[in-house]
Amino acid sequence: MKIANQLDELLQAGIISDETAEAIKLYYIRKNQQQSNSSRLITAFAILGASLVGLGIILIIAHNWDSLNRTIKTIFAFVPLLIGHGVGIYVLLRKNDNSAWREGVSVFIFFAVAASIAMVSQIYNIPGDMADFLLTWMLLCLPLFYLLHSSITAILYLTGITAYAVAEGYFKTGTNAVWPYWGLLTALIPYYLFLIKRSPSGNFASFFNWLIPISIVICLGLFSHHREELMVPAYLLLLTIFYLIGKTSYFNSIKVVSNGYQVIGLLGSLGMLLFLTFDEFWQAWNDLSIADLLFVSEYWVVVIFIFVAIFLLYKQNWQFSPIHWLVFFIGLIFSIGLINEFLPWLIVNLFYLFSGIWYIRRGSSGNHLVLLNFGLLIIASLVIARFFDANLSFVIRGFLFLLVGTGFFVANYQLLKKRKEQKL
Amino acid sequence: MKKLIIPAFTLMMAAQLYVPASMILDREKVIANGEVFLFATEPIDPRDPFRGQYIRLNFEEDNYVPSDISRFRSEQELFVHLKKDENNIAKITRLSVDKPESGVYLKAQISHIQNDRVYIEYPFERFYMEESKAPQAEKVLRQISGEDEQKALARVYILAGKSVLTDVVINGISLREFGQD
Repeated sequence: MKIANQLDELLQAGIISDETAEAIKLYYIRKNQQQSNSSRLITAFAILGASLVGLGIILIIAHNWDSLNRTIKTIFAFVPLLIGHGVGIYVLLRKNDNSAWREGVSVFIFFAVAASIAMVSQIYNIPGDMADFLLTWMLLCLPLFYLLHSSITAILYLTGITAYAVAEGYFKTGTNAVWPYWGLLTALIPYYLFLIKRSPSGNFASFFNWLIPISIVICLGLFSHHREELMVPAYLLLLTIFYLIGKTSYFNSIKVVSNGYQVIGLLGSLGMLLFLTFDEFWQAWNDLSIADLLFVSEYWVVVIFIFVAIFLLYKQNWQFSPIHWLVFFIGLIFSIGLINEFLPWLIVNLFYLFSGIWYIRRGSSGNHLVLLNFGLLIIASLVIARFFDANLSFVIRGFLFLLVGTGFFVANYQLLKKRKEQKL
Repeated sequence: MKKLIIPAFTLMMAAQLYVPASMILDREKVIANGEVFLFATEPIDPRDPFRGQYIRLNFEEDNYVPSDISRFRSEQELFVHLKKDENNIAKITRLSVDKPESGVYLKAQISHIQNDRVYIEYPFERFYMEESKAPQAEKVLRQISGEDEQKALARVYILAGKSVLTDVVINGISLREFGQD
């Protein structure tokens, strides 16, 4: 392949013609392909063989672990890490363009770091604190996926910091907002942005489009300290923000399956709204007073989210769909809810019903079967929810179900009939 | 930018090696320069002696009635002052919340407080053993816990508040060797 680098030079100097240059390039490409098929198989067997030998050595060492003295044990604790580092340098120098090598060595180092810390802990009988261990591990591996450009390691890192946040925030008493998690998450963002710029519909970008919102959803609850009830509007706002992010021009252009923000935002906010159509929450909310809510940690989360949501809405030129405008709606119902118990309940039910109708109309006028049925599902879920708590007789409830079921049939039939007519 | 990758990688390698290395050096210092204390262990709870590959140790000397109970709170950091009795077994002399200037002391945590008595959580309650040897060792520990004469003693090095557990012995024989039958 080295001659290929000189082709441009030779071409310019007039030594070879265009056709000759093309022919040389083709020749080498074909030669590489022939070699790669058989050598790939050999490589695979080599890796398998090496892994088995490695595992065998590890098992022998493990069996005799107790008879080794402490010095030898500590040396063994460093061996995986040193091997990883050695191969890492080799990959950086010689195989940097090969993603398989980069990802492989990066993941190896990622686990070798954990293995060496764990082994040392075992040798010295050090008590374990899962949260501290995870934090140290992730901090040490943060530069790893940047330097070796390894997306798999970045995914492992995201999983690790989420696990750290959960271990530190949910499983220990005296919880705090776990600021290190948010810092570590921010440290991942440049890599994420680079990934979506380079290959927006690539697999790794899609993974991150789901994993990042999921991680944030898991960890938002860490802010819950004094007033857990405030987390309800906070989560609802977060999901609205995700939906708005998913609708920005950049994300809207990729496949829906890759757009975790949109899906999680839409389904999540509708799900929460459905939860809010029950009156239990509003009874609890009404028991609070404004003084309880102001200026606690959760309050600031809500305030910041409101500004972010409005900003995103502004960037999208105040586009209209029910979820887009949820932010104002949220401000309205939660404020009223402090004074009156019944009104917010009524408003949420009407809003939810309206959303269903909106999607039905969108579906039927835009000839979009999925949206139509989505709207119908929203209405059906509302009816089912009211089935459980409304004090209506069974006859009326049965009648309502009949109505909704018929509605499903009629709406779908009409849309399909319209399509047929258009085809003819 | 590309030129920076190798130096940056070297820096990361150094950091990744530094963390386990400093853990090791810290503890080796305690073993080299510290005093040995033997802590008498209590019978193991047969329902849950093992988690993973380690034995949970319970110690006899894990509670104390201090003169000023009001200064202590649950889950607080604690300094335990020790002396050795005639059999080299560790006994608590007093507890303090502030780091002492001198003397032999150990940093620990308060587990809980009950009836004016402070219950201590020591940083060496795990003893790692190879998995296959653990059940045998556990059997032995339970057998001897019935007899008063024999006790399983945890050998702990202590230096300036830091502690390292190196072994658990019965009549001078390490628990690790009991597992070998």
